[in-house]
Amino acid sequence: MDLGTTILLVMLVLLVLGFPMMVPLATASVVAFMFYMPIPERILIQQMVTGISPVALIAVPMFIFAADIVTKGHTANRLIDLAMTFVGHVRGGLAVTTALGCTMFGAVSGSTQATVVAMGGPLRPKMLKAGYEDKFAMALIINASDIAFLIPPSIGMIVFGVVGKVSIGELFLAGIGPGILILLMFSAYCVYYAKKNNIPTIPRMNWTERGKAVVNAGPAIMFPVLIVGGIYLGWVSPTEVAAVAVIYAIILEVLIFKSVKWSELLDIARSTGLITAVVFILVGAGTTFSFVISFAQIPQHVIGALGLEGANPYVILAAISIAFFVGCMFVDPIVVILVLTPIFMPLVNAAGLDPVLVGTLVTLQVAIGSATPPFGCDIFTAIAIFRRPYAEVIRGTPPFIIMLLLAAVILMFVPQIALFLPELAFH
Amino acid sequence: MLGILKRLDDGLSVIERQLLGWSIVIMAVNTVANVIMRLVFSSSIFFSEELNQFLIILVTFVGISEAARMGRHIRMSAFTDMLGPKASKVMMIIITLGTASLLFLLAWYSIDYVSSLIQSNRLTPALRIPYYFTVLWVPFGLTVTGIQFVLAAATNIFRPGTHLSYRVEDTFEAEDIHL
Amino acid sequence: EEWKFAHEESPGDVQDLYAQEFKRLVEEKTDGDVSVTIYTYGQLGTENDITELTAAGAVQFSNASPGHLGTFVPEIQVFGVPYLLSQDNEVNKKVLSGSPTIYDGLSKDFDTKGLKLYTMYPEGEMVWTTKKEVEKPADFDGVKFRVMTSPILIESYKSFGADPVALPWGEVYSGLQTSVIDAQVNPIFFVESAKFYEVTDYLIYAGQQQYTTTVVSNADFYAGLSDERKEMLAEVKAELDDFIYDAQTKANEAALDRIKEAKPDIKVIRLDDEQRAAFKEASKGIGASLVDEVGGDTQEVLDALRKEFGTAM
Ligand code: NA
Ligand code: NA
Repeated sequence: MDLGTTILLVMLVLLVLGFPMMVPLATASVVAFMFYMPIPERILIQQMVTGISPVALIAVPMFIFAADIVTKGHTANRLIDLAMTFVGHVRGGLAVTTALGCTMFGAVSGSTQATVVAMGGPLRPKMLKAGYEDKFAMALIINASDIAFLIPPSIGMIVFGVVGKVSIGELFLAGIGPGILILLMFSAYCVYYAKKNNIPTIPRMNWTERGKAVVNAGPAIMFPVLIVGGIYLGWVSPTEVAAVAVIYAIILEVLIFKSVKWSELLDIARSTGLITAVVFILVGAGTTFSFVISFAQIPQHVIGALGLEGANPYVILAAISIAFFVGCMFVDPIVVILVLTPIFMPLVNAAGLDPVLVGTLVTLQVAIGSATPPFGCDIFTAIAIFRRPYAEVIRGTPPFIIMLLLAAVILMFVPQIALFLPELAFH
Repeated sequence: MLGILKRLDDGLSVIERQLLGWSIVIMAVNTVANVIMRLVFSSSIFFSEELNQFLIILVTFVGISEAARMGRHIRMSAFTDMLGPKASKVMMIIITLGTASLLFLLAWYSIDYVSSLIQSNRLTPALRIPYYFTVLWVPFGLTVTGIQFVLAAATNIFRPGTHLSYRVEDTFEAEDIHL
Repeated sequence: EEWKFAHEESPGDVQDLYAQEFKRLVEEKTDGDVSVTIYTYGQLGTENDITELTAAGAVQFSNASPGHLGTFVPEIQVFGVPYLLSQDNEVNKKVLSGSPTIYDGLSKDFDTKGLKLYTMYPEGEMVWTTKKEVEKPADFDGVKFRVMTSPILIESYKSFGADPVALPWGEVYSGLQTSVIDAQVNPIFFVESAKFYEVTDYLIYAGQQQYTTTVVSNADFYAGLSDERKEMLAEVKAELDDFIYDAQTKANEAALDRIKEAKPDIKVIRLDDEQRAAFKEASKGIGASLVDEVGGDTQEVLDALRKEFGTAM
């Protein structure tokens, strides 16, 4: 059996058997080193260390830390209240609030799972009480949290930027347009759903109440201003903006709101460290796996076999979209980005495609894939949080996935949706 | 015997958690200090990047051990969730023992890597300290994590129920993800 | 038989031109008995990784540039000392391709790391791209200058009068755009491909340094080659010595033309001898501080090279 087939089989079998995700990746690499590659096995460890060493990756634990501090405080609820006072009165207002809340929380959090946890917890009971079907509520929460992955900060964009040598600052700005586009599509669908199912509305809030909600949520809304503004104005690099966000979160929750005590900070930092390790060991193992693939020249064979060399840019974009989407239906998004990006980047550069556009598209596909059955990670987060069986969690997802895929197609043909902001800032 | 081992591991857990927490805090302080230095004093902390790299390697390899202890490693459990209690227990023993073996193997490779670094006397670019100091956390973390999975296997063999680690039983609650 | 050649640049860049021509010549001279596989930037990890891979025998040849190689072979950092190389590239070519100081002296330091020094060549002059005109050290006052994290580079730019800032590679473009930094330094072909000229206004040739890269081979692999193969590799090296000087000159000239075409109002400044002398004078202590820091036979290497390049102080 050739190397490619062997490592793919090893990976899939161990993955399906339920081994921790680093095991399939590392075992496939060990097998490759032992039986196919005349290289000392210590190089495997070298690649693992290399994978987690890039300076820009420091942004990941920093954004997780900031989000952990804020989640411990009352930010999520303040954001929900804010969205509610403005759109609660329209038909489907609570559903729109959910989508809007996920988008706003996305500016604090870099991961879809964190958003499912923070927004799904308080919003699902409210939606059920208001008369929405559970399958709709869960599907909305799972898929709206994809928007969080596109709105900066985004762990996926950081990893893509590092592996694909693309400016993380530009990627961050490029995610905002598509994020808002999806928010609009979801909101329209929410209104349609509420009309069809005759969901009652709540009374319109007056401007005093709205003003109060804005003041309450104000410091939380400062997060996107800080992150986007910091990068846009060039005071700080995206890596540094993450650390600045931590300091801001501490000032906010510890000094102003007093919702987190100084003594709790170290505890939160410990939990951040733990989550960082869980993500970064995948980054390390994924880098090793990706080294094996590069060393054996598998990308060249795959691209050759698929006839992608010198193909039409749209064909390349479509191939990339499908690869990342399908990958994320099975494996953790970070791993998919680590493994697939080096395969496709030479093709992207040769075709003269804008790497920032590709990064945005990849981030979107990764987010969609991870909410898509059979094994998208967000589904399992949702199962754990909502304590509902698999079949029920996935039942309402098809309309959302179709809308997201539609957004991806629109993005391919109207790239300005993503690119106008980075172009405005950097060119 | 198992009692002593458990007490030792509790102590180790406390140390590891302190290391994790402080590393994250120092990372934040170091990064922000560098920004302030640059914006206010027009210079940068020349070892800032290197310190962060050291810390991230520490966090990753110390953290995987604590994550194993808390049963927090990401895995795709769709298939094992469908199994009955008996089969799922057997599967968990296979998974934990298999994972432990892999980790010990990797630990062995990492010792080889560290000794090759000692031999080549490679230095870090900014502080010019031996690079292997940075990598020492790798064999440590992989070994301790391997031991965690052995303990998890033992717990599954000697106790009723299915266990992700010797502390955490495999239930919905255990999978509460805080990411 | 397959030889793997890993370099640090993208397809079409100077190191890739060298590797491609190496592949062509080796495959031709061995009648296809040897096939050369080239790995470009990022495929096998970072610059440090590919040097380690070569030492471990995973790849047979690789590029290593002094900035990174300095963590393995500290003495090689002398090539970072400003104004060490001659202003005449013919002299540089002669020294870098055949210097006894390099190939008899320095190469022993490589041997101890499991590496065989194959060749050295410059990829072009390191050009400052800045937002303000810089003609004398005083002009650098308050200029935040991005350099790689290497003590000798940081000290050099301090001595020139700038404020050196370490910033990861990926942040340089946006850093310039948004004035996190005001200047950076790289060969012109790199300035062009990374589009740094879009976000700066001046290209300044100060003659302080050439971007000098090293091709190393695995020591055991090389020792195990037949005499015939060694002979062949020496021939290839000799042919490539000429090839790469022309190729890099052309690549850099073409890159500069493309920059001028894309941004006609960019100002290209070539400092004259007198202006260069001022920067040389300002940085004259760098050699000594490197000697202090690295020790070993750095002083001897530096003195011998200065003599060969004709740049003794
Ligand atoms: Na986000
Ligand atoms: Na998702």
